[in-house]
Amino acid sequence: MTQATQAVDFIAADRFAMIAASSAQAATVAAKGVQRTFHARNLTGDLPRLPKPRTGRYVPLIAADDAAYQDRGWSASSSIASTARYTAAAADAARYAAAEAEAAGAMRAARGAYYAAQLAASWAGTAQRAVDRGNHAPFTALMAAQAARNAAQAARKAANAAAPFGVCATRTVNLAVAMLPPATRDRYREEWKSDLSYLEDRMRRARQVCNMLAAAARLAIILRYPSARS
Amino acid sequence: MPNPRMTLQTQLVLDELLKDPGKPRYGLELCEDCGLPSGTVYPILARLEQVGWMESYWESPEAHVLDRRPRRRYYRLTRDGAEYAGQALRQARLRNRAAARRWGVPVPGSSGAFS
Repeated sequence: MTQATQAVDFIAADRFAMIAASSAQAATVAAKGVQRTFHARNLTGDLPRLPKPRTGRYVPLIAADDAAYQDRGWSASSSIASTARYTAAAADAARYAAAEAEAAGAMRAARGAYYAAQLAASWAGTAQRAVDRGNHAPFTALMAAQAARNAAQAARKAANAAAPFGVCATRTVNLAVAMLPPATRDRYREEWKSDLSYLEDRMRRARQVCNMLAAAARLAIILRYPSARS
Repeated sequence: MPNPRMTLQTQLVLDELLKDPGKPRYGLELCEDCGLPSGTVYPILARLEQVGWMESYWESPEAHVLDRRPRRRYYRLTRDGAEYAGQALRQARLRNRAAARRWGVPVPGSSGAFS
């Protein structure tokens, strides 16, 4: 894979990760709206209450989308529906980011993003079903928003892992390799760049690059003078 | 076959490799398994390779092209290397134990490179 192709994939993954993040933020705002509505309803004494049959199953105390609440400008089901929509959007964006990251060669991070996107899509479906049935589902909305945030986070991780090596990392690896005997340089350059590509976290990459410098200093002696330190 | 220096880190790497001598591992995997930084592990691998206890090779193109990832360099103990490494590790453990007794230090655990 050429550096240019990887760069294009990274840019696409980065954009999708950004979309996932903004969708997750919108889902969180919508889910918080559901919670506010729920609390306001429970605290208002003059609002009609549904009978509570003793069936052992959970029955919402107050029906969602009651005309009385809509008069006051509250609409829980529309907030849950918004949460579901934004969560689904975050899941889709995370899935696209994962596909781009996979194309760039960041397989492990892409798998994580796929899994998180799948989970977010499942929660979005649950929230949508709650809206369709007319249920008030504040917990589902919260969980959907959380799943959307997780998907966005996984998408960001995948996009970061898909990033081609920066100038700094490339130059440091080249510097480390320059210390080695000429015959072994190509081997270690390829090996260490391959190692770096498996690290998803930027901090871990930076630490690995520093370790490579330390390794190169020792290897330079070991490879030039085989009996020196064995 | 000459013996490499049996430092504590070398013992840790050999201990990890001898858990499954036939299994090829790449450098980063070995670093994670041993809990040592790559700055320590790669020089040890180079020394073991020099004395002939270990061999390294690039993975076949089918595997990494299919997964669309850069190719790895795998390390594996040679047949003789596994034998010598086992002996060297046993001797090093005896030395560690004797030294611990001499200094009155408790010998930690019954498994691992320190025991």
